[in-house]
Amino acid sequence: MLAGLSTNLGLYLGLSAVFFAFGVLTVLTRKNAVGLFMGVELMLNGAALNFVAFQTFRPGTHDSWLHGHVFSLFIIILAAIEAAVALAIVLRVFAARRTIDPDRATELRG
Amino acid sequence: MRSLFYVSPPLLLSFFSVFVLIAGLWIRNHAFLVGTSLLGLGGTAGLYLSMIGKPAQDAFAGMLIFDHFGLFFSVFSVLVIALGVIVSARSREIKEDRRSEYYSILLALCTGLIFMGISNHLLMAYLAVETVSILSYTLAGFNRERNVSVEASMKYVVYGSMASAIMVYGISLLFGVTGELEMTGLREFFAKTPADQLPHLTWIAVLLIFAGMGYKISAAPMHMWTPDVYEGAPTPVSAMFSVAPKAAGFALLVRFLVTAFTQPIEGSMEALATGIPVSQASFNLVGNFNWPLFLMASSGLTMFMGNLAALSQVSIKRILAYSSIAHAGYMLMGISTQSTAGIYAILFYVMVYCFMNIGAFWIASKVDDVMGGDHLKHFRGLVSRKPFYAISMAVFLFSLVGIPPFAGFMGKLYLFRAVIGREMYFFGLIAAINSVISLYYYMKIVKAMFFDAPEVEMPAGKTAFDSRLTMTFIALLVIPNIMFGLFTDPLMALISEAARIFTGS
Repeated sequence: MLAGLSTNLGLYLGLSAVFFAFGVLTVLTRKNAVGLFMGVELMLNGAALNFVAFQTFRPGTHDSWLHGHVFSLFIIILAAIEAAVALAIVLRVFAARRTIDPDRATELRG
Repeated sequence: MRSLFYVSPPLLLSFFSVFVLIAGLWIRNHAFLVGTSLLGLGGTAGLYLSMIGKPAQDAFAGMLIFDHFGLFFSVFSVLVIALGVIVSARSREIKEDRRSEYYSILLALCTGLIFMGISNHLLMAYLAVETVSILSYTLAGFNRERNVSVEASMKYVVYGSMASAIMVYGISLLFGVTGELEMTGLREFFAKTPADQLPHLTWIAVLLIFAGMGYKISAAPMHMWTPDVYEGAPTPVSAMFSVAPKAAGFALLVRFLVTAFTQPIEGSMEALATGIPVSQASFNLVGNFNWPLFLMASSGLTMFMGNLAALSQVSIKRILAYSSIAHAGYMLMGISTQSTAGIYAILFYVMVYCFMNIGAFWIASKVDDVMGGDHLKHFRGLVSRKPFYAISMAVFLFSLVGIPPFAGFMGKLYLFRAVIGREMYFFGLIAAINSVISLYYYMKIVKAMFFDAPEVEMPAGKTAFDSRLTMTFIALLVIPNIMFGLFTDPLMALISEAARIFTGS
């Protein structure tokens, strides 16, 4: 079942933690709203990877329901929906002020 | 089929949501759209009221749970959205050619709020939170000709998507530790696993999930988006944002903490048997984790962040936004007491908070419409121009401060009593200090309305904003603010029925 895949859960968790950490770093440092949302996607993918890894390596908890796998599928769907709405908003921002740098959206302050 | 019966109200609401959207393509009549939306909300509320008294029941294989707690928050969400529809109907901020989309989104939002209150599974909770969030992003930017509105929606989507990503990562870790996603399943897991054998990863996971839910209720430090979004979004939308998602977030948070992590000590079940009133039962959140300190710190920080930042504001919408952060802090007090009395107090506070806050935002919206702005200077001398609005606003503000005999006072009283009942005197003192700080900025508005001379000229051509109907509805919001301050028993009876999940029945 796991032919060709590592059987070490820790490796997967480490990879997902790296995804999540890079995602957070991207969100905090990017000067471009589209890049920023790519960081959010990275964070979500870290979570999805966690779910798949935990479900695969912890059999016997919920085999028949496959909650972890199903959750990761929903994460993918919701990430797509969120990206669609976010990009629509970014387009409006660009039309309004010819820049999509969130740091320069400064009309609301105080 | 049995499960379908329990989701029939949200199904009806989704049907109306789609219907309003499609019918709006042909029928441009505004009254028709408002009427249909209210009809859908009314029908939903009616279906819920017919479900009162049914025993607690899970549905869809444990994804959802139906109990009086969920029912309370479902009806509450319908009420808030109905108020939102009424407030929006007379607002100038919603453009005419987008009204059908607007009401359609509002009804869909209500569906999401309902599911937040009744989810018993973390996947369902995540889906409901995302439904509410994504619709909120679009609502915040609904007035897309105004730059501030677009900016508000961008800030909302940046913070919101990050918060939900953090939450879902926390859920994945919790799933890894426990192998469970169902809240009742989590409770069984924690009951059979000794506290000192839980890995520290559990508490990292809980912190991450708390951060995600804390964003919905705008608890510090996840509150930064709140003032910008409330100021930029159309005012009727801000009025709803400040109440509905916050209440649903509290419903989810309380259900998550109490269902998954609670071990009753002077337990509610035994309390019933031994005759201790259930309202005095307390519970312990499990684990090798300092829950009381964590919850108190989060609550205290939220109060101070909201109240101190509100002091220097001049925009009324911004003041109300910061005050809504502070109120989230007060409500968190109820959870940190870890007692049934605290939960009762939260439910009571949510209910009265709805009436006072929507009212205050509504008046702000009216003043914005007629004076061309919502700054303190636009409120100066309001009593000589629009006495009805000034007096109603004063009632809402007094209620927000918590001055007797208004409802806000009783809300705070219940919260403080829960805190004192658990002998957390220092924490009570912090909350009292915060109430005093908040007095300053609320009274600043009252002083401007009643004792200052008018500063801004009323722009010409902006009349006919106070129809009889609007004034009637505002009066309908004023009445509960006074009534619930004087007669709390009916509402408390309702709430003690709603909070029965904590007695195990």
